[in-house]
Amino acid sequence: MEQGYFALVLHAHLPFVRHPEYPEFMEEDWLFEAIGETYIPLIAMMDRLVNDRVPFQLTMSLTPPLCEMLADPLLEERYDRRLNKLIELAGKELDRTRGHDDFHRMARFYHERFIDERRIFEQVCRRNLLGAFKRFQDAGVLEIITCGATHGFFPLMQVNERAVRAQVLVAQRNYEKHFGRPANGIWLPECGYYPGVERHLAEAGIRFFIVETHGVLHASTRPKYGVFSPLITLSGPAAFGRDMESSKQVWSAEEGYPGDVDYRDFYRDIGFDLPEDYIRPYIHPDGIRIHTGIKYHRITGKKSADKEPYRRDWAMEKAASHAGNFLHNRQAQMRHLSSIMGGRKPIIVAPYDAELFGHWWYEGPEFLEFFIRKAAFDQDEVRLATPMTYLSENPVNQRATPSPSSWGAGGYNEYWLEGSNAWVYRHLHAGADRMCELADQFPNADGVLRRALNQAARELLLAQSSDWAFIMKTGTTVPYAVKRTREHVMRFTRLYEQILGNAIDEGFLKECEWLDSIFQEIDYRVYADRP
Amino acid sequence: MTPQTLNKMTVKALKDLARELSVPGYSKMRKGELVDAIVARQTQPDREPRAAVGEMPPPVPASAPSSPGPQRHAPRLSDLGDLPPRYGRTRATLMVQKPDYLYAYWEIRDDELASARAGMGRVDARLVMRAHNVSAGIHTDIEVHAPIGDWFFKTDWAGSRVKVEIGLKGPDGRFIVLAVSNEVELPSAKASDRVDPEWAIQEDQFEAIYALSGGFTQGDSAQLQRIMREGWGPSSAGRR
Repeated sequence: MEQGYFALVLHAHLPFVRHPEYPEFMEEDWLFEAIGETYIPLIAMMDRLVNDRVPFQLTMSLTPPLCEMLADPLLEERYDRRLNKLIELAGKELDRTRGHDDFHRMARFYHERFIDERRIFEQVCRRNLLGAFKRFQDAGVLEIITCGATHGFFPLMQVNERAVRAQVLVAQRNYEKHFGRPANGIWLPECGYYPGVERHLAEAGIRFFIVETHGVLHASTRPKYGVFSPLITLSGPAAFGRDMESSKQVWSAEEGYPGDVDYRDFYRDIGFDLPEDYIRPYIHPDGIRIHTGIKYHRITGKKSADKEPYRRDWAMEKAASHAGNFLHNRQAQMRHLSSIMGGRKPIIVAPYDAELFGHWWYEGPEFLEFFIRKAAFDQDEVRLATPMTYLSENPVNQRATPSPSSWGAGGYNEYWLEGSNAWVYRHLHAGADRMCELADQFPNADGVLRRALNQAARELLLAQSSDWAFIMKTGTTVPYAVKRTREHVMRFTRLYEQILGNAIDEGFLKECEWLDSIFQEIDYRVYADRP
Repeated sequence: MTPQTLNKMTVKALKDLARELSVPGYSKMRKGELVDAIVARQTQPDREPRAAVGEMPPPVPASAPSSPGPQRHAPRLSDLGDLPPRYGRTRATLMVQKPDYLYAYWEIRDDELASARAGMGRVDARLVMRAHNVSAGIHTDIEVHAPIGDWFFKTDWAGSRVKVEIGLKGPDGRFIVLAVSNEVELPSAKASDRVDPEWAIQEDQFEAIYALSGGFTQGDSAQLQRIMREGWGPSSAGRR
């Protein structure tokens, strides 16, 4: 008998990285790896599930920068070029590994897999991955939700509410451009919530969002059902809290499934392992070694440096057994919750970064597929549902205001506000104030002035991506994050000065439009006092 | 990055990484020493919030590619100059870092500072940040020196409303306010004492549901998430 709902939420996001000014740009690989290892495998999975008439519902955020990149012809072309080179390399690997059974078996696997990836990209999706996701949404199995326009971290932007509001409204408009209807839900960037943000969500027509566990537990009044029932905020949108237990089984580096000895090792990659003269055409043109995606070893042991060959059949068996274990635990959890919630059906909300599945945890998509199939056919206690399904079947919920929170380390703002990255906020806040000033001063611009105002809004939004502060804190590729922040702030500043000085340099404006081409549909008046 | 990953990198890449991490003496190290030094550097605990003032990262050439090298393709783009060193507006902004830490930054215009000093008639008046616990009606002063600066500071004011003022303080205690920040509310970091009568719940029941929700295990469930996201650009594991 059905005991409650399980909402799996995958947050898919990458910052807007697109460099038409270079023939190749290393950070664009973030997108290409995520397409090949996560987005296409998820599309293929949902395709199989729909074809097999497996009942399921998933929620996925596709952030506006990700949507803009997935719909971009230049990036599509570059992805295609990279994939073709990868297929060529996989072909060479067939020869190189001959005589070594374990490796040769995997070489054949990769060769077929990359060719299939190309088939899905070119023939099934006709390069339109967003269209594929949209079809699943239209079929009722996938709820696509939006995010802040450029993944700005709202708690550190709230000193200018109009800047937060613009992140939400620009995102909703972009969502409509790509999916033909407004989004019902939003993934608050980094799960960053502050009391009051729901006003902007309500204005955009958003019905629900996700908050970190303590956002619900420490709400303005005690949440009677903990995180197992949403809270309705005073402005209307519902706040669903993250469940720790189901998170931990997947996320925990110690106890989590992805660290299993039979799963593929992320770090051993032929991009690093093979001699330079062989691998050279497939790494960075300047000889910098990179991950190719061809990896032959399994994790083997937590501390062992000697990695054993990867066995796909073992890994698949493990993924199936982990999926069974995960389902078994959810059933037990659901039964227990249901027994103490006095007839009210619990909802367990389990959000993950989408790129965990496939990119980091290579077998993640297979785990998900096993889990979804088992949940559909092996039991009837746990029902896979979206937050919208929950709300339509359970319209009466407790009203309260969640507590400030994020899903970053420590649960608040310290990841995005500390010694390495605090310097950005002075510029981001000044930019937001200046953008509002421009929008107030020019309520009805047209022609070049309008273009300059729209571009200023794009530059400000791009500077606000939480990714830059995040990267500065983590310490990898810091110069890139610093460069991006500086460039957007400086382009914004120059546009601002040119607009106020009535001296717009059209050549410069064109250059900015060419480089930072996100949100062609933007209307700077979203920053005006009364839109 | 793990030692295994580092071991797979070239000496040049390791040196680049060491430079980025400010490893002392990296240029003369052998491969093994570099790996050890980088691992040690990476596992150092986070620095305490610092009390630096107006610190900016070193300038990066405006069109410098992050990928080292491909200068041969370097496009000709407008020279963007430098980040604005000042915005020409007196302002103080206060932000919450976590329930017991706050961060403030400010800019005081030179002319306003000078005229306040003159009005006060004291050359020895000092620039001070006055942090107010608005809810409790108390305040504390921190000397800050720079007219364009920032500061992390610790309080035990969780759950309270807070604002800061930047001003001049004379030796006699007189305080002239130059800038007033926005007001923020520090999170209380605990469950509310308020119960909605419509959704009433017994104390022991609440404790049970709080525990089932993961209320006592916060913050330790996401190591992998951190590892994964810190490494993205994983792609990049060997990048620098």
